[in-house]
Amino acid sequence: MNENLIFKIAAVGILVTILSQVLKQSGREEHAFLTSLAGLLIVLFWIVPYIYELFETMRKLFAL
Amino acid sequence: MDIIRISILGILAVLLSMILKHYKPEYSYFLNLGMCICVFLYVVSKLEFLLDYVEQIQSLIHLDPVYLSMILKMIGITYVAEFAVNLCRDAGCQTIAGQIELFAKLSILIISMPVVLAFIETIEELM
Repeated sequence: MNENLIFKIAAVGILVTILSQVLKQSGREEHAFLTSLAGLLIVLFWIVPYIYELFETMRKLFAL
Repeated sequence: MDIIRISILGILAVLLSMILKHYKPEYSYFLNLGMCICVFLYVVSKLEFLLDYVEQIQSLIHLDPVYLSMILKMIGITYVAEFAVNLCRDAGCQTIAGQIELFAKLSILIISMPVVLAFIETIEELM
């Protein structure tokens, strides 16, 4: 089923955490913020279709 | 079986979000959201079987379909509202959760109003 969604989110989360730590150490604070923002947007784009699909099935199922 | 898969997935998601909670809390919240959606999609697919049985029962008993669709609508509203409310509470926003819950209760009340009216009218006729 769609378990890989969870693993993808976790991977992006860990990756962004490491990247922002590295960037923070090297003094580029705003780059760290930009990477975490980019990571958030990526995950958002992954999750929104799932949410839409979920509520669409709910609507069809219960004739809301 | 499905239940084993879901529980393993749940525990895994909790552990992963535990790691992320310290450094980037928003990702742990995204993880919870993704996990809830996966389980909810499973639940919805199981519900379809349930609804087929309900339809069969309904055809046997010759119940008025209006009441059945009303009950289904209420169940749907509670499901969606429960999903949203728990997610908002999980993220720490109690007020938003309360508002959604209030709206869900009101919409269920509005749906059930015709039944109450019909009930009162029948009582009036008996008087």
